[in-house]
Amino acid sequence: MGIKKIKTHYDEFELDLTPLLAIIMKLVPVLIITSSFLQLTQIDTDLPQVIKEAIKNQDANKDKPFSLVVSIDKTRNVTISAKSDNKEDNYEVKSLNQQIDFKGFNEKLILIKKVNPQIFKLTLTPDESVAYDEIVKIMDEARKPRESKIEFLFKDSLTGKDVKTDYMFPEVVFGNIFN
Amino acid sequence: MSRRRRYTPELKKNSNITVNITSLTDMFTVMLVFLLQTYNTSEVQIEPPKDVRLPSSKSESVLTQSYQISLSQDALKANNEVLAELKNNEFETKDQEEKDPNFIKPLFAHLDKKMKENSDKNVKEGKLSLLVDKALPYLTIKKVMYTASMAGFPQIKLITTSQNQ
Repeated sequence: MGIKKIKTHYDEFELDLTPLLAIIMKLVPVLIITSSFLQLTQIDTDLPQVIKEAIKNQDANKDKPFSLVVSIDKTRNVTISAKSDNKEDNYEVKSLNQQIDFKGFNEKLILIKKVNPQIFKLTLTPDESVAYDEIVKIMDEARKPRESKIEFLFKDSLTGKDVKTDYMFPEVVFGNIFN
Repeated sequence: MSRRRRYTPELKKNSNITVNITSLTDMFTVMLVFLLQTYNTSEVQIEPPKDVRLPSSKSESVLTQSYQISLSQDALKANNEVLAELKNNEFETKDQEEKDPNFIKPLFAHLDKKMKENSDKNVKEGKLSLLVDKALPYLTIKKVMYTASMAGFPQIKLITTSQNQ
């Protein structure tokens, strides 16, 4: 009779990783082939179809007509025109070294949004020389505040309850397509 | 002088050799996590043309099915078919309507044909995705948007690369 070795919990045991490795080896090539490393996104833009948009605007702003128009000129100065039924406020964001002041534009929009939390639509009229990249950046700045802490309180028309959102003007319409 | 014999370890014929695969498993697990994180779950896969440098955006909208048109600094294309050529970021005079320079004749003809031929729901609803080079001026894009809306494609989606990735 041989002497049995007493096993203690200090003894090392080896976990068989072979099946796990086999699964990973199959998954990795599948993921490498099927994954696209360039992640794309889209920005929805509604064109101002004369009749369709007019009806939509009338329906949305029956009691309180309001329009927000953002114009960008050749020298990259941005003018924001906020029109309501009885008054018109104009804000100007001067360019910085022939570049649009995106930060200043975002700050001005935050001020306007605080006064008009029910408005989510903005009409953009850029100059013909403005680059597409700049337009996309302007749309980004109009969508949300730079600081993630800032939120706006507005009344949900369906439930009547106050809702918090960090969205400012996500709906951008090009106003000078037909000009 | 006798040559020194090379040392060869003595191996028993029936002994098992175990390869330590722990480090290999570690490496593959890291790769797997990275690939799963970057995996695109969107139903629509768009491959931008090589000559189009898309702008980046913070938009979180997921890509939706629509008809695609690309606009580079050299050409306006649909399904790799050149519809119109550009010189100095402008369409050639022959491609523009005389009375209305915003109207691009080959683009209208193509989209109008697609609208009549195609039974696809997205085309019928007038959904159009634009892959536009970021350096192009608004004037050029405006002409494409104008013509597209004339051809019955009012729902335009601007395709950009994601800044959130």
